[in-house]
Amino acid sequence: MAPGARLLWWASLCLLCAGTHAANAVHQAERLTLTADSPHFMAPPPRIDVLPDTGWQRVSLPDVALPRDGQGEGITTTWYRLPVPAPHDNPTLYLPRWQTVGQVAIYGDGVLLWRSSGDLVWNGFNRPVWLPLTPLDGRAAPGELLIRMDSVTGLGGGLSRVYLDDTDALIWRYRTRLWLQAVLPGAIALVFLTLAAFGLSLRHSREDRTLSRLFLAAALLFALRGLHFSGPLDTRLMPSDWFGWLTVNALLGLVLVSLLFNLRLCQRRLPWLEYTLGGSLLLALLTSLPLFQASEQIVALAGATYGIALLLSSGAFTLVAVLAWRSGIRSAQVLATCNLIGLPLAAHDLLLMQYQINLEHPYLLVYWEITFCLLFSQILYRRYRQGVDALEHHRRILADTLARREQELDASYRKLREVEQRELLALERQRLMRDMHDGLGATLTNALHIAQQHRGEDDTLTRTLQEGIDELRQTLDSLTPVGNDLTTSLATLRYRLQPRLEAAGLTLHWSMDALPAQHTLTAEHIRHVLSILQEAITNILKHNRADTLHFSTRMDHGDVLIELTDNGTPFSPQNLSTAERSSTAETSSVERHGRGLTNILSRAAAIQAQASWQPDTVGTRFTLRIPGTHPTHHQPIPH
Amino acid sequence: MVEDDPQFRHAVRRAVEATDDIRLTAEAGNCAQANTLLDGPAHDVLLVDLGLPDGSGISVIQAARRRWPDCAIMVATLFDEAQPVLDSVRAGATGYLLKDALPPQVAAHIRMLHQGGSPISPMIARHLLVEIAPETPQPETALSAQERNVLALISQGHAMADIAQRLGVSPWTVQTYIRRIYQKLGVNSRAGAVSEAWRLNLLGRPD
Repeated sequence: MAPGARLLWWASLCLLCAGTHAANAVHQAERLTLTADSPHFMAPPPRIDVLPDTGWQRVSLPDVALPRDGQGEGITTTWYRLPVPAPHDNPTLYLPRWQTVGQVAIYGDGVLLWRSSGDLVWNGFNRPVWLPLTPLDGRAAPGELLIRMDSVTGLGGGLSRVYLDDTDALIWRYRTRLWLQAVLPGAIALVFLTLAAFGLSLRHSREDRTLSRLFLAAALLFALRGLHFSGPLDTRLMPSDWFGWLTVNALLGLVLVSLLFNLRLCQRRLPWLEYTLGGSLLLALLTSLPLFQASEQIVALAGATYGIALLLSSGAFTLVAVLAWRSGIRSAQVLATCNLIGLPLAAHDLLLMQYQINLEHPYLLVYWEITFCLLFSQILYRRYRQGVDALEHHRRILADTLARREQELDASYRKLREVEQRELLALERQRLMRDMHDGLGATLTNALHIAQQHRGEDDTLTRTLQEGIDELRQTLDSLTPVGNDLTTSLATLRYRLQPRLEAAGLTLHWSMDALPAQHTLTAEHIRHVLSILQEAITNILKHNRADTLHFSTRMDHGDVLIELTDNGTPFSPQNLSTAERSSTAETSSVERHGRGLTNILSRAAAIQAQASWQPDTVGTRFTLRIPGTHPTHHQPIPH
Repeated sequence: MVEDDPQFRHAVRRAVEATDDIRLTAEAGNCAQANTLLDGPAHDVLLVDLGLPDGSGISVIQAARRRWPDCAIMVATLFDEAQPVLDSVRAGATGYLLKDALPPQVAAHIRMLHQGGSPISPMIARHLLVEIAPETPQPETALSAQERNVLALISQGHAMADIAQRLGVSPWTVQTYIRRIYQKLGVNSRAGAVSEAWRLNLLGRPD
């Protein structure tokens, strides 16, 4: 049983027990049993003048005046006489239960104060009687009460204790019992139906759809069954026999549906059991049809029907409980347990119906249905949570996918912009190259050709123009993507200088292997390196008077080392300053040389490289050390 | 010689006149004159400038390749930029001449080209290494391992003699490799053009 239902159940039981042991209850009464002359029920007379003095016997309340044994026929009238114990301000009668197939009337000092209404069979046995005893016309409250109960002989009749006390002292007992026996079952039925409608409205898997339909059937059957608690029946609304047929068989249907529900929860089918129980229900429906039975007979049959149903369901529920336990499915196990707990409750109700136990006990099976409701709500809630979780999960996946797509789009857009910029840059570069090529290049080449035609002793102009063209070539190379690698750039430098070196009588020995690919330099760095080397070679050609030049490259601790070794006049920057002071004839040449060295050093500093000269006995070794890692931006070259 | 720049024409003329074995047989200053020239008898070497006043020298090279299949075509360029040179090679040229070359170099280049050699700069070698992928669909136009070695060494700045020594072949064989590489580039280019033409459905149409 769910914790909420258990709490409710115990609270109600405590209240009832408190009422049972109340001091203001009448425990003793006198009873007189008479057999009616008429075989039909007569309306209770407004006054009772004379009752026989003999035949009264003292009984304890609650009292079962007539057993439900099916023996005898006709109408039996039972009288209970009891004194009103002590004067109260507002004396009130509270009768928790009277139960019979018939009618009840209450007299005060021989005057009719209250009588039951509605159908004689479905007569409100679950509705407690609340009767203020003070007459409205100002007369005194009666000193003696008579309770008359007319019953169909053989179908039983009994009375609970009678409470006679002040209104304030009794009201909570009456209200509690009224709420438990008349209001709560209706409320449960309403919740049951609402849940069923909600469950059916949800989008389900096939399996859950079956469960929802079964639950709806259970809710409808429970609502029908619950009509027993809303009595008395007004026969103007519905014939008594059909009411009996519907409500009695509704319990059987409820048992069957609960069983099917439990089997579905176990994810098992037991066709033989389902068909047996289904067949039994059908048989009960047919045999108790009002076409064949009168209302009283239906009531008489109800006891047997309930008994057989209890026996069948005991076996079936036990079997399903075993299956549920084996299935390991928690909800199935809980429902199976609830069903098993329902069996003693059903037995209790059957005994109460048969007048075998205290009549003041409430019928309990109706409250057991709360557990079914709670269980189904829990299943619905779990499905709902699963649905919400799944939705949340899908939402997260969608959000992630969206974020990823956005990132991809962003990246593509960025890449696209980069490509566009690169293309723009490439177009601009091409335009610049074309301009330089067609404009400056063509002009320089033409000038060179003219200078070559008119060359005299001094070929300075030709050489200067040639150097200008070489510079332009290097600039154009640096604008070419393929030119941005040091190996190819050095190779190109050699390729271009080779004819001029040969023309100057200098033999070049080339010793270079491909430099590591990871040793990357920007185009600007490479341009500086080439300019440094070109300047260094020009210096060797002009000043060192060498006829052999070794060019080599190698890696040294991650740095690139480029070495130019010649066999000319040894040279060092210190020698230059000496020469500067000693010779005036060579001043202009030395100045040019000095300027060249300054250019080399400043370019080397700009790319954080080191340029050095090592004079030997013969020749000089020029070394350019380029560090392995390079700053993104080089230093500006001082002009 | 197909060249519109009078200074360069003069420089070439002077360079050729300084030799005993080379003779300038005809000159054209634009595409139209060049086409007229191509109608005549074939010559040994054709020097073509790319930037002609009435069109591109590439068309002249293509026409010359068709009409004078045995003629060695050389493109004259201000700078040895890879793209124009490669375009010329694809069109059918097998060499190029820098316009600032010294007169002896001009003569040497013409002589080398006529003898079946092809000048190649490290930058162009590097381009070719990238351009002619080893997994080309036509195995006969894929670069051989030896050809790739030659290109790699050239791109590192080694001279023909050094390369020949390293590979254990004669300098002339190295030249042959280069000529073959140029031819493969031309074939690749033409195959590419044909497949592109097929794709565009330009070939095989009735009209």
